[in-house]
Amino acid sequence: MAVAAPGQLNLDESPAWGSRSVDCFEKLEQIGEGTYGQVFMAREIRTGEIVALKKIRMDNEREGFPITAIREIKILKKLHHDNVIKLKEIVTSPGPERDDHGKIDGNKYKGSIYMVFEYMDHDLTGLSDRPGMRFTVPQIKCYMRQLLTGLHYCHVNQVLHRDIKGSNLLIDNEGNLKLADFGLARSFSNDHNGNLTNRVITLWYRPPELLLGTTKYGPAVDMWSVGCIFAELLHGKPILPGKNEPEQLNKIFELCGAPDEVNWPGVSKIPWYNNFKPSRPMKRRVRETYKHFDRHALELLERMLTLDPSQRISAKDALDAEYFWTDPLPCDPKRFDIHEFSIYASSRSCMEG
Amino acid sequence: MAANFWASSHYKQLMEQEEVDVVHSPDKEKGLTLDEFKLIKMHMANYIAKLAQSVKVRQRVVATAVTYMRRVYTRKSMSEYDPRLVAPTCLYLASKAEESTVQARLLVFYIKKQYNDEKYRYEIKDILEMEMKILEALNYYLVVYHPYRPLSQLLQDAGMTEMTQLSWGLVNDTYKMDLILIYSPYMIALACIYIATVLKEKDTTAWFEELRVDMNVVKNISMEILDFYDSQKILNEERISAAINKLALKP
Repeated sequence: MAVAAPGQLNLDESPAWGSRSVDCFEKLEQIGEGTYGQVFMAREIRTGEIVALKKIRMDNEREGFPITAIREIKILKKLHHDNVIKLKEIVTSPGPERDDHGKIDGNKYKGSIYMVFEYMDHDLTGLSDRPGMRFTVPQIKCYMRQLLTGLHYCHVNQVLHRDIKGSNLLIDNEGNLKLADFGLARSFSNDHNGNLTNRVITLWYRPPELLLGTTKYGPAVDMWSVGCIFAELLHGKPILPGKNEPEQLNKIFELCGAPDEVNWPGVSKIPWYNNFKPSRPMKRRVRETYKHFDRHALELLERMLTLDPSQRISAKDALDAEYFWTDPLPCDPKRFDIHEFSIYASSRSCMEG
Repeated sequence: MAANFWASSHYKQLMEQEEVDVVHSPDKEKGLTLDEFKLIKMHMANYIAKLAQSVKVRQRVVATAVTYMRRVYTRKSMSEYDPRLVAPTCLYLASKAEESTVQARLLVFYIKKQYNDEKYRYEIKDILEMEMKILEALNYYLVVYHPYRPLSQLLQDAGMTEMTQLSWGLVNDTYKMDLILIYSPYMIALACIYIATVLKEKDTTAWFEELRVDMNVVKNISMEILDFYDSQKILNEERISAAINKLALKP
């Protein structure tokens, strides 16, 4: 394999080892702001291929390469699935990046690092925010099935996504859905299941066990978020838009009822249960609130929005739900007509956000 | 799916002994022999383990750090990548990758405490800079599988949990060699069990037969480990520093 001479750019194929320079790409526009850096749409100069470049923010990093980026890279390097965003490579820019005063801080890495992803045209939030946009049932089934398939793959590979929400579900013009932004994702093991932070997942999609302060949790946390997205797709807007953590819990209890030792054995031992325990009895009202939903959809939603994480449906079981196997069946991604938008009119809320 | 070793990048990166045993030309030009190359790597594995004790991280972090270090030297020369900086940096990076983060500051403190020798002294900025170079040398592949998990599972399966301590210690020692770059963790675990049972005079032929693994490979790995223990007897500090000095790294 040809390697560029010293001082020259390596614009060739990926070298056997080491990284190519970011100069192999031409940045077209900024398309988002990720957990730890900006995201650009860019064109690979040699092939013309459009990609997304996610810059890893290295400023304010006193501890070298950010551990969040390490987690994301570790995880993405082991996941290879049609419904999981593909990390194509990592590129670097060598130049010393000076701070605002033109000084180079000795303790900081002087270049920048970019993760190169396949480019996706839209995200789910961006698409559903379009005026007059309403997904058809076969489309919703198609997205949900892809979401669950991707998530099941993550869970089998012992990865918790921990930030499932519309803006992290990227969709291309062919209707393919891919999970993106693994910046909060973590590996978990079944045997040594302990002490993860509960401060993850965007508030509206955060499950009750995290809001109650548990630090031992598993794939069920992602399934709660999936339930919120599912209901949002059917309902047309977010179903649990809390402004802060107490309000979020209250909204959950109003919809799903108050947790107690009957519907959720062990709940009283969760750290903040006593602080948040509702003072008045509250009944589960999922069925009543969404009575206009189709029967199978409601049945599946009930099992996703189950308070007790151990009783909540898994991604695998959700894929077997009647909902996906009764008419109208999920459509083929390729048969979407809403995706016939030019990529320039792309609709994304904040990609990889 | 990549939850298992056989689908992992680790498996795809396994190398042949001959590929691992290559002294890179800049080192060769300085007169470094293959034996010395191996000796330095072993010494650095010990260094990583000692540092890890001071900063109190799990054995798994040590194992990952040593694997990183050994992988780096399949691609980079010691003349370019000073082992005395690569070793602590690999521990630093492994501590992040294995979710047991150690502050760079703390690491530098213990390096100074452990070595009076100026040549081992590196500052935070050196470690952070080397971290980037190591990430690149590793091609950002950070997930490493180790023999510890298969070891526990196998011993449990065989009903020989009383062998855990001995075979676990043997596994620890395999990181003083390049085995983790060459063989699957599962086979290394089996070799360690094999040695342990032979030492304790336990007959496990039937159990091994049922596993349907290539016993020749298991025995070869075992022989390598035993040979290594033999060769260790002639190891001393002078030989190590003589080898490192050949590289003429720091003024």
